[in-house]
Amino acid sequence: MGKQTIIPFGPQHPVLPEPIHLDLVVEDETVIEAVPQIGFIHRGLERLVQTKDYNQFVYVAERICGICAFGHSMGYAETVENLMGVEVPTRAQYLRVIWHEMSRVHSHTLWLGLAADAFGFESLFMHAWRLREKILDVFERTTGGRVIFSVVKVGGVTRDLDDQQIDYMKSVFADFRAEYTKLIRAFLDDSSVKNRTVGVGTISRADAVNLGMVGPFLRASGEPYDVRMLGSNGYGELEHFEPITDDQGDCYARIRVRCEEVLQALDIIDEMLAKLPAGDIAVKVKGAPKAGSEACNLVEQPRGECYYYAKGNGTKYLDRMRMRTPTSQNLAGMAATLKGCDVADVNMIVLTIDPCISCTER
Amino acid sequence: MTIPATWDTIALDELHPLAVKLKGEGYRFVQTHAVNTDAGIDLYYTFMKDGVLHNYKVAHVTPDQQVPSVTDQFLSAFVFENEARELFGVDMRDIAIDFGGRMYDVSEKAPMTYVSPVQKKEIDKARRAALAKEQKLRKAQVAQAAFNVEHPQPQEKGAVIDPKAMGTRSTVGDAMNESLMGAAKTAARRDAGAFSFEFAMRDEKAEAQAALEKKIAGMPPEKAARVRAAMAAKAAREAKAQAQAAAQDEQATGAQASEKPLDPAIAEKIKNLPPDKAAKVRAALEAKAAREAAAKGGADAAAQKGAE
Amino acid sequence: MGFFKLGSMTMGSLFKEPSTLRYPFETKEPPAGLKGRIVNDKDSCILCGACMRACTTGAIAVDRKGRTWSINPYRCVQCGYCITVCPKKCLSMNPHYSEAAREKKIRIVNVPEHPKPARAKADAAKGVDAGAKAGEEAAAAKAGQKATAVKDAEGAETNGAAGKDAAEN
Repeated sequence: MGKQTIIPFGPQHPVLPEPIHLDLVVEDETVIEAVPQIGFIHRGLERLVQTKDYNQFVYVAERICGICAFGHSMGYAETVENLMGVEVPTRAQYLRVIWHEMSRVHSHTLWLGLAADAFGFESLFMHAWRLREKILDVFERTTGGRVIFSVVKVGGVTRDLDDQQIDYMKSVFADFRAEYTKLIRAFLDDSSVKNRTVGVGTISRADAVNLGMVGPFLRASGEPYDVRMLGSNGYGELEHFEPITDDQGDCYARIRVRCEEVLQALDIIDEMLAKLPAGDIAVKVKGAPKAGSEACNLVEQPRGECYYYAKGNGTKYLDRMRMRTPTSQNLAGMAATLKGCDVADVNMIVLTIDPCISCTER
Repeated sequence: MTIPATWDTIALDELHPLAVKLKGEGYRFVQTHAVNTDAGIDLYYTFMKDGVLHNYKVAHVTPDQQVPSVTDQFLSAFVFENEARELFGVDMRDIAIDFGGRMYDVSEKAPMTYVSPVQKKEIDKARRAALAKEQKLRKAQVAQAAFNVEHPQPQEKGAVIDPKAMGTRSTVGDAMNESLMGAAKTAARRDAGAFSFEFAMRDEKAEAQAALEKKIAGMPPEKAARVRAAMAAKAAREAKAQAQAAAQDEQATGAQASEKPLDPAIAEKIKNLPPDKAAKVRAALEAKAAREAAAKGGADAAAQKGAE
Repeated sequence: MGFFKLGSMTMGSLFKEPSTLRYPFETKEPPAGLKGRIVNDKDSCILCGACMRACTTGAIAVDRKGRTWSINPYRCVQCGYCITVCPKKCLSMNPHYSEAAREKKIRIVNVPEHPKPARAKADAAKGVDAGAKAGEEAAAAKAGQKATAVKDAEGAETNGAAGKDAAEN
């Protein structure tokens, strides 16, 4: 019976992408238990509904997280539109889906670089982030910002895409797809990657559902749940949507699911650009939410399902705005996955879960 | 198309049995959050099955009530329950992974139960506006009911209503006047034989004047002085115009009082005019005739004098 | 080669031009529509203060007496909300990459007085009674000018309108 030591992991660690603290109870290189702890970057953003009215709060919602920025602004706007009974024009819904899928591509490419870096595979890290710059250039040309776009408002979007921009986007995505396919083949077919990730951090389908996990973390264990298949708002215009799953439930499966989601997102963008309808990009929203009204909404962010709730009280300030982000649901799953693994695998497991702690803590 | 959602309210002691039941039926736990209200904290638990969101609300939980945790059924709820305890002051018991109130470690106690002065002001303003709107609606309904009583048969669309034909009394007009200046004054004016509608309209003018005075009071002094000067000039003009009109009326009535027989030529001219204009034109024409007669008389006198 | 998967990409990186810019010797041209800095067209600004109330971070300050409009660019988050609420559409966002600076300076714009609008022409077109025109026009013109230059003069405006009504009666 070995001695048990507690190794504190985080919040500052070279391979850790987000400030989470894990107390690893370790016995002879095996992790017996992992206790997560968060709360390092709590900013109290949900209380800002009291001083920012419902139009200004879009800009606060965007800044909850840098990677999931567009998803939060879109989810918030959709919830308030639901609350006030506003019907958004179809073109605006298409544009929101296009930008959201681009956001997903950006997030997964960034994540791929970080996963490779945690591995030690630095040249892949650099190549992945070089490809990510191409996506950021598209964002800059179409929305004006690289990471925080400020392009969504309650009632629609503020910017439109003209034909020149659409042609530019199509050419960039064609180049991106070619290079990206080469990149992921290099990562997924590599024997040292397989050595380190196959069979590591396995979680069964039953456990995953029991623990309430969401996102690619869940889909890699075989449970096909994705909010986009419910067909809400802009996603209802898609002809066909099939969530990508894998049945192994280990780190390799999670990496593979994310890499393939990028290609699926590029397909969705192509489909949406091809049938982009003409029309207005926004409707004018007047007045304030009625007292006592409530609304809720779900959005599939790159990391999973995000739940939004809004409550009005008759004034232009919302009574309550709630954003439940995917990583807060995945924390229980993370604690369970880390049980029984080697200390050296901890960073790989944490990275394949893709935590976003700034969303969790708001 | 939005995600379909249901909203239900449950009691605090039904919470844990509900969680056990839903877990058995295969529902997926989505989230837990708390909303701050005047009467306590509302706790919302959300579950999902087959693409439908089910929201359950436990209403008005006070800090002395103990809330059981659902983490024994759904482990992923521990983050939200810790958050509800720390940010809202809800007394949660038996959380599986319990941070003991130090998860966020904020310096304020239950910070989300604080309502900022800006928001409080807006809420009060909105409540007052809603109340005023309701009162106005009720008053309109009362007036409508009174009108319906007086006119049981609805008039046809397009029928012209002649106010003079309705007489000097009208229940609707009376109701309006009563709300504006009280029952006693209304009765007094009515007895004096005045028009119900006419007075209501004249009162509006006085009200507008009062509102204007109030606005002037709130203006900077030089602007207020200028506005008052303009108003004085306007009042002077109005008085002058009224005096002129009164003089004209007097002339007209004076002409009538002398009971001069109507000249057939003048009668011809004013035959087709409306009555008040007819009176004015008649007065003007008679005055002209009088002047001509006077001039003629003067000329005759002069001629006579000259002849003498 | 089974293990040199990234071979072609690595070879390409050796011989192709670099993906990075040799900043500061080469700079990137800011694309049109970039969220850069807020500028105010001082000839159309009426100093109403709507942008100050709308600003999400409180970066804009409007001083009506001193006739200045100022923005703290270090508080501005380039959200663009002030541009949507401006009633005269005098605010716009210029594509501009911010440079590094040693101190945080606030940018101030002096808004000059605007030329008075021609209100007398409208009165003449209405055919106002000649006798009352002289005194009434002076009062209405003065009241009317103040109303357009400073937005909160509703009392003066109603006075001007009421004066016109009295003359027409």
